[in-house]
Amino acid sequence: MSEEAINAVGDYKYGFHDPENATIRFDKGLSEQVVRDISELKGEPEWMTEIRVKAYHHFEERPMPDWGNCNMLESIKFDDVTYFLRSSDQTEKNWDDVPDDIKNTFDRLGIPEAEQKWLGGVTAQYESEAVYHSIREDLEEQGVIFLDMDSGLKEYPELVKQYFGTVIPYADNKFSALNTAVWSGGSFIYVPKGVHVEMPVQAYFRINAKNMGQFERTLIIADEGSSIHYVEGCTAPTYSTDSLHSAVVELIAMEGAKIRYSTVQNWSANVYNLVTKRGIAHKNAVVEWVDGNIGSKLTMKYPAVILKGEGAHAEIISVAYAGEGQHQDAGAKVHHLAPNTTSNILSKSISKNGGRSSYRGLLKVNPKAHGCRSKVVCDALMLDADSRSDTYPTMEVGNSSADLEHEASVSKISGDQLFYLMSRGFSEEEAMGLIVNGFFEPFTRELPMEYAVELNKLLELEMEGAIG
Amino acid sequence: MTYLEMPIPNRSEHLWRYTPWKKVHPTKIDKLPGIEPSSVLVNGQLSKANNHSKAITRNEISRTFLAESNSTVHEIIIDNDSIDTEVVIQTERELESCNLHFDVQSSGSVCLRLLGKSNWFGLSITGVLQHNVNFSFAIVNDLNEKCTVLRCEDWDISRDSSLEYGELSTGANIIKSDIRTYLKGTNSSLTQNIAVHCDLGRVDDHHIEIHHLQPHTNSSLSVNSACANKGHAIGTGLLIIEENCDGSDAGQVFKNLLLSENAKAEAIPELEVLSDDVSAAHGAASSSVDPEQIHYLMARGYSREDAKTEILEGFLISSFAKLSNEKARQFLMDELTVEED
Repeated sequence: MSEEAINAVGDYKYGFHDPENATIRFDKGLSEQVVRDISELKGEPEWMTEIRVKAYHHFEERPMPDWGNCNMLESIKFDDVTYFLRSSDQTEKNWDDVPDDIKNTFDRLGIPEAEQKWLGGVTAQYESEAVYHSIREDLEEQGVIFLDMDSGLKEYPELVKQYFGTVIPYADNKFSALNTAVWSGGSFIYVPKGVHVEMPVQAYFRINAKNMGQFERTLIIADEGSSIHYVEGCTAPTYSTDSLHSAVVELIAMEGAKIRYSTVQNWSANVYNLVTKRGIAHKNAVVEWVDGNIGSKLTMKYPAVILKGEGAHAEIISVAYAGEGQHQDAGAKVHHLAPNTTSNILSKSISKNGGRSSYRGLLKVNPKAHGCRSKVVCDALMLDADSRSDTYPTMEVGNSSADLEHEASVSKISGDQLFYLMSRGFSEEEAMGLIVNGFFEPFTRELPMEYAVELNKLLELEMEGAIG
Repeated sequence: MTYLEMPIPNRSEHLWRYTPWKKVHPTKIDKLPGIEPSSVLVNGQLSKANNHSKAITRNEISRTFLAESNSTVHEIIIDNDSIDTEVVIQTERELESCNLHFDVQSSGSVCLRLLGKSNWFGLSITGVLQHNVNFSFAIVNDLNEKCTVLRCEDWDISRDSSLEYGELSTGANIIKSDIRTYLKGTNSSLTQNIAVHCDLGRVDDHHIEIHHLQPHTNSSLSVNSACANKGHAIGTGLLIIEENCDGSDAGQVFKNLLLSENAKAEAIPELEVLSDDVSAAHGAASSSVDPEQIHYLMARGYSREDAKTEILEGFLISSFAKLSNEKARQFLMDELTVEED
C-alpha cells in the first residue's frame, strides 16, 4: 500500500483496498430493469423475480424514515450506488482457487487462519457475491446445509420459497424493500432436527469498490431441537465517497432450537449501515443476538426477536462505539406474543470525539402473553463534552401478569476508577482503555475467543489519543 | 403560524403516538371552535381574567389551539402576601378552557383543583419562578368521568430556585397532558411526582419534558400509574441535558401497576444527553400486584378486593411521600383518600 493510501486510511486497520477486477459491474443507479437484470443474471425462478420487482416499487414509493438521523439519511445518494458487482465467476470451495487479489484481502483479514482453527464453515463475500465457501465434512454428513444464499436458492428452491421473507417481508421498511429488490449473496443455513453444530460458522463481508452497495440476505433455519452459532464480520476500505450496506437477516428457531448470531460490524467511516435483523422463536426456542457496532458512518440496526411459542427466550447483547462523525443508532426489539416467554436486553455504548450513540428499543407484551418477564439495561459512557448519548426505549404492556424492568444510565468515566488504576502505575490512557474494555466485557465474553481479542485490539486502537 | 395553518401532527411523532390530535380536539380538527372560559376561584374569590398580551412563543399545536380558542388569561402572582394559594377551576358548560399564568416572586405553594361538568376542557398553565424561590405546585384532576382534557404546562425555573410538583390524576375520561419544564438558571431544580389511576376505560396520556439548559441543575421525575379494568396509562418522558450543562443530575422513573387483564400501560422514558460530566438515569417497571402482599393482608383479615385497594392506595400515596411542602402533600393525600374511598 502506498504512503498516500496509508495516510488516507488513518487509524482504521481495514481501510486498505485492492484494485477492482470486476467480471460484471452494473452502471450506477436503480431501476426496475436493474432489478430484473440481477435476477436474470443469477438465473432465478420467476417467483423470486416477481418479489424483487414488487419490493423495488415499494422502495420507490415508501418515504424515508422520519425518525433517527434524518439529515444523514437524506444525504444518501441512491443514484450514485453500484447495485451489483461480480468479482469472481464462481464460488470456490478450495481456497487456492480464489482469485489472487481477493485471496490477498481475506488473508490480510485472517479468514483462512481462523477457519482452520475454530470454524465449522466459512463464507467469504466480496462485493455482491460469495467468492469462497466451505463447510466441514462431518456437518455436511449430518445434513447441515450451509451455502451462500444464491446457491441456496438454486439448490433448495422450495425450502427458500417456504421461508424467504416470512420473518421480514419486503414491505417491513424502506431498506428491507431495497434489500429484497437487489439482494445478492448472504448465507443460507438449515440445521436438521436434533443436530447441534458445535463450532461456529462464519461469514465475512467485504466491500472493496467505491460507491458500492452490498445487500446480502441471510436466512437461518434451525429445526426442532437443533442449535447453531453464526458469526459475521464486516469491513470496507476508506474512501472519500460513501458506500451503502443494507442487509436483511431472518432467523427461524423451531421448537426447542437455539440460534446465536454474533456480529462485529467494523465498516469504515464512509459506510451507511442500514440493516434489518429479526428472528422468530417457536416453543421453548432461544434466539440470541450478540451485536457489536464499531464502524460505519451511520448505523441503524435494531435486532429483534418475536417470541411466538410458549417458553421461548430472547437474549440481546449490543454494544456501540461512536467516534468522530459517527452515529450509532442501535438497539433491540422484543415482541412477547406467547405466554411464559422471557427476554434480556443489555446495551452498552461509548461516545467519543463528537460521536453520537443512541439506544432505540421496543418491548411489547401481547394481551394473551401471560407470565412474561423481561429486563432491559442500557449503560452509556461519554468520554468528552462534544459527544452525545440518547436513549429511546418503548415499553408497551398489554398483559397485567407481565413483569418488565428497564433501566438506563449515562455518565462519564469515574474519576475514582481512573485514580485507582493510575496510582498502580498505568498511564491515564492505559487506565481509560482498561475501563472501556471492562465496560464492554459482558459483550466480549460472549464472543468466540479470536473475535474477543480482535475487538479489544480495535477498542484500544480507537481509544488512542482519547486523552487531551 | 396560526392553528388553522399548522400541519396536523403525525402519529410517528413521539408526542402523538398513542393519543392522536383528533382524539383530543373538541370538534373537527379543521375547526377552531369558540370555547367558553371557565370560572376561576383564587382563595375563594372569583378571579378576573385579562386578555392575552404575550405572543405565543412555542410553536406547538396544543398551545396554539388553547391560546387562539380562548383569548383570556388569569395572572396569579405569588409574593410575600400570598404564600399559600388555593385555586379552583369550576367548569359548567359543554366546552370550556382556562389559561393560567403564575408569576412566582417568593416561596410558597399553590393547590389547584379541577372540577365540573364540561365534556371538553382545555387547560394551559405557564409559570415563571424568579430567582431564589422554593415553590410547590399541587394539582388534582377531579373532572367529570366523560370529559376529554387537553392540558399544556410550561414552567421556567430561574437561578437557585426549585419547583416541587405533585399531581393526582383520577378524573375525566381521556386526558392528554403535555408538561414541560425548563431549568434556565444555574442550581435550579425540579422534583416532579405524579400519581395516575386509570379505571374503567379511562385513558391518561402524560408527556413530560425536562430541559436542563444550565450547569448544576437537578431534576427528578417519578410517575406511578395504576390501571384497572380497561384503564390505559401512557407515560412518555423526554429528558434533555443540553451542551455545557456539566454537574447536572437527572433521573426519571415510570412505574406501572396493572390490576386487571384488560388494563394496558406504556412507558417511554427518553434521554438525550449532550454534556459528559453529568449523571442521568431512567427506569421503568411494569408488573401486577404481588400475590405475597395480597396474601399478607388477607392473613390479617382483609378481603382480596380490600387488600388490592390498600396496595393500590399505598402505591399511589408513595408518589407524594417525598413532597416537602406539608400543605401540598396533605392536599394530594386527602384527595387520594377520598377518591379511593
